[in-house]
Amino acid sequence: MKFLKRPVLALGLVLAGWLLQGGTAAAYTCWSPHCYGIVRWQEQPEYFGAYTDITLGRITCSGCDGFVTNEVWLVQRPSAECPQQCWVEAGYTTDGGHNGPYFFWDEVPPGGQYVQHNLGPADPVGSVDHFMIVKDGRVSPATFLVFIYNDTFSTLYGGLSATRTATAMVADHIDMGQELFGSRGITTSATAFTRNIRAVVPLGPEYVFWYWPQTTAGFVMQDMPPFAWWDTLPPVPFGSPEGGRFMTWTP
Amino acid sequence: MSWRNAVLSFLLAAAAATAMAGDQGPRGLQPPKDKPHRPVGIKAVAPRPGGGFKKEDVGNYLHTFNLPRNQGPSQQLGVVSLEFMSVSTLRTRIPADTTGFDGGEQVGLALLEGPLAFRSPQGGEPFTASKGYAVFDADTGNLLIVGTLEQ
Repeated sequence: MKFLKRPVLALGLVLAGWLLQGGTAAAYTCWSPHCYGIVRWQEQPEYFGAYTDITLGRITCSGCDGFVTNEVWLVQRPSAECPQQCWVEAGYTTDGGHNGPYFFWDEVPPGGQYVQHNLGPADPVGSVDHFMIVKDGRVSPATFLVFIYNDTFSTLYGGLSATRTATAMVADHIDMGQELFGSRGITTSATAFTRNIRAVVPLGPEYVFWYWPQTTAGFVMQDMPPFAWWDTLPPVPFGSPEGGRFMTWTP
Repeated sequence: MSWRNAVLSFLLAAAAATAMAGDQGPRGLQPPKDKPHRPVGIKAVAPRPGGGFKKEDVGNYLHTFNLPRNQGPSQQLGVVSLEFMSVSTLRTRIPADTTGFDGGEQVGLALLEGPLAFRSPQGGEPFTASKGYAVFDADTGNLLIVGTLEQ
């Protein structure tokens, strides 16, 4: 796993890595562990929610033996109630056994088991879909709400992740980007993540996702593939583009 | 610096600080308020002519395609049972969210055994289990929900 902070260097390595592989479909060995091209933010004591706009890129599985995702994760590191991490994630994926790209969200709540929710076909390539995970402070212990939707709400999926203990998940980092599993057949186009923002408080009775844009580059980690880099670094607070423009790619 | 200039400078600085503080407070985004759509799931078990599917159909599907995002070997997955029920009943049987579904809708709950290993976020170990379940749309055979069960 490579840790890269500087976007220019990261992009240079992306292109160099791809060219070294002949500029063709990338070879990969992503069984255990899986491969990732992600950015991680872990500066805050708690992340109350995560949101990103993904401009859906092409993700294909041509005789592949695994799967690929573009998504966002809200994660609590291992603890007494989360021995293998707790998390809520939302994104879109394709794999070798099922129909083309589809939306999903998965969870492991505190004291709970793994659950995956396979929602339905993803919107067409080029669509901008919104992925929101937010802690709901209107109930105790707090739950997490998941939304996947587009501007017209022709796509609108929801979900609720509830703790199985007396305490709610306390997320200590946000991951965002691409996950790759398998060894052959998967390619994706360069995919943009924009409006990268984080909730600063749990959802309250006013039902507003109070947020602050990501203002740091976080830690970029890439297994090449997936490649991952900042096309545009997160600007100063509320500058444009809000939360920067992050890219993933498996050529 | 005269008193007049000093006061003017102080007022300008205070105004600038106030403006900056206003810009740097959190902003609000409205989460969706409408009822979420009903998940359609992903294509999985093909219904038999005349409708419906059986336990062996689920087994064939699992052995051929495996469960989504499962690292465990598909050939070792076994179907313990397949039972059709309403979503309301399903809610009493498994700890899974059913947002978007009406309580009266029919689903098929397949209880599974075999090595299950689902991915975790970067840096974590796979979530492993020897028991699990899969929920299918009773009409289309589409796969809706998958989960692990306590050992």
